[in-house]
Amino acid sequence: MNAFVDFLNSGIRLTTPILFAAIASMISARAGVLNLAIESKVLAGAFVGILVAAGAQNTTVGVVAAAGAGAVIGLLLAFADRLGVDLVVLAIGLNILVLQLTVYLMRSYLGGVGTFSPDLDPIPPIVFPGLSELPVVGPLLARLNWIVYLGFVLVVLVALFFRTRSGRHLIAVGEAPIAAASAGLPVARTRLWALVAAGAIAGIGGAYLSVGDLGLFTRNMSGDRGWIGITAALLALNRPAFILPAAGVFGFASAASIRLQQIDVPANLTQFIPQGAAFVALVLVGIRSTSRDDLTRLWRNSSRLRLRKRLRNPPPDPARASSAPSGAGSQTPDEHDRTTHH
Amino acid sequence: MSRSRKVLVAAAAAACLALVAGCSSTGSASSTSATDADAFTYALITPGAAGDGGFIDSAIAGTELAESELGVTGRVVEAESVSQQEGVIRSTVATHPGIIVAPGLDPDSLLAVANENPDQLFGVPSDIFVDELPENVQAFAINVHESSYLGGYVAGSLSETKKVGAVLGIDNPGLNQFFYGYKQGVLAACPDCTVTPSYLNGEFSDPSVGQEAALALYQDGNDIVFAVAGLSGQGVFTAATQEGKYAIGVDSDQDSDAPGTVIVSVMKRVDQTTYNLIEAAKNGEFESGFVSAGLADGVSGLSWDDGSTVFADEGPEALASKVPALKTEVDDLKQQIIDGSIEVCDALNDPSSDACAAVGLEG
Repeated sequence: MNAFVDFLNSGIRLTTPILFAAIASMISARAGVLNLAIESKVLAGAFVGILVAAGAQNTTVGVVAAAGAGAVIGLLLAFADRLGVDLVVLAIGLNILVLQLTVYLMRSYLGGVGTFSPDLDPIPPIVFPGLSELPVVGPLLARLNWIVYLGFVLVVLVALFFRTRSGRHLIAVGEAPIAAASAGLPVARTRLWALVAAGAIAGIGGAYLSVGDLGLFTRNMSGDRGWIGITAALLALNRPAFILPAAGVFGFASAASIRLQQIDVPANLTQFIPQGAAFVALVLVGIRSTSRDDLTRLWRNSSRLRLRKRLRNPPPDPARASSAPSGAGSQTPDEHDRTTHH
Repeated sequence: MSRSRKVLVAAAAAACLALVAGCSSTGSASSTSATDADAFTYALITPGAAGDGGFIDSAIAGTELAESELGVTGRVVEAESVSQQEGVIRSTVATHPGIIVAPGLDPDSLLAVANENPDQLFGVPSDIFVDELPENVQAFAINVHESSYLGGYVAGSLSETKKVGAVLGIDNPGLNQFFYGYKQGVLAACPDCTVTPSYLNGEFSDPSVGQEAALALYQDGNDIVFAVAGLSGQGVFTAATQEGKYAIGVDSDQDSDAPGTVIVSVMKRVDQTTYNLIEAAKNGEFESGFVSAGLADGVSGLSWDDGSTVFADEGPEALASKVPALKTEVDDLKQQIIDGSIEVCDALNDPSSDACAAVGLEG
């Protein structure tokens, strides 16, 4: 029983950075941007967070700085979006740039080592008086700091936000940008704020790794958590209600692969669990045709559709049909025809 | 639209220029030192960026020692990915250094270039897993099972809970050479101890996962964990510090990475083999083929032998006070291993030996 509670406790900690990345991906996706730069935002958050926290000797300042670093990358994406840059290509470039930039800066200014380990205690866990002595609840809530709880609170906040007027506007901008623009919504500005918010949230996820959990930074310490977050958001169909369990699948799979070894499950079996979970999750996403439509629509919106140009020279055809010369896009009208014939 | 595109292109061009300028300035700075015609020259090609805290840094330290001790000159070339390596080796051959030292490179690329350039000497300080070598290549195989045995003996002697663990990057013969040597050492010091491994699925640069794996071991009652997982090992040290438990470092001297928490480090002296290769080539004593080296040759051992007293100085009194006596025991064991009176399981080269069967390795 105790081992199981420890496993849950470990799973929550491993889920936290993935959860932040998934929320960031969800917000971007809902605003109509396929945001593949989450990985770079997590890494930048981890790096800037520990640097500022060490300089200021204050972990909270570090976390705020990490959010700022992620927001700056979000801002960069938003401006590039306005210029009509292909965001998928830019995001791939950013991921490589941030990885190498952190290595370069560590080498040039922080003593030239693969690890930056300042004299800084990670954020202490929150201890609830009374609760920590209880048998099951105590160990379950041990070693969880405020960033973990912030992740849970954020899920609720985002869910509530999507029900507000501005939240509805954001979703409208993502689902039908042309219609939203015709209705007078500020499409570009909404996207900008969504990308900045997503960047800040991903940055906090990075700060959890460096400032929150370990008190050090190592090369590429985001370790693909940004990508896993994007997968988790897809698995959750970009809905706040599913985001926590979807991120949890990956965090708990990782915890299971570590903990199951203690009870003599062979290592070569346990090591398959995280990859197996990702595989099953992607298959689940793939067999849902609605989410496939979501995905292809997202892709078109972010990399093909040039909103500004389109608004200046409105095309004669409806937006959906004209912007889809590719095979993936042309399926949509076919399916539409089928359903109307029945 | 077109003006903003131009701005972007200009920005990208400026970024590229800055990068190129950065690279070329370091390149020219180091190549000027190689212009002295009389001096023996070396070139070190590393499979990644300096600053891994492991064998790359160690190899660079070896070349620095060679520069100050032997008066040789040379330069370090980094090949970031396997796809770059063959090109980097070829361009380095074109500069005709006295010896090219290449730790951990892709063996196919290295041997292909070596075969084409029979007059160029190549040295491999550690870890090249091939069956034969051409006439112009000398390769060290550093065996760590014996020094891991000594690390395990330290862990077994200091464990209060009679349970110790190890976090390993991946389940392969190279890392199991560490683990089974360690396990045998623990059991020699403490026959009723248990030794539990935890493998990380090839995650050598994810300290967060290393921390969770170590935490699982500590919560299970283990009080000393051997971290054989590259940068992920840093997470093991964090977990040990947070839980008030202990760890054992690997590859380089990691005692001061978490002072008072890391008891000792099992070192793989790539700096020593790098130095030996350069020295041999300089003195015309280069011999092709494999050189198997380990505890007896001083290329593998404990950080204590190097004079590290970090744990003795900063560890808790109850354990630190045992260190001097333990060090004497370990020195004695080291002598017995070198004499051959203790046979240590070598999971890499001889997994079917009796010593390995005794520690539960199925050869």
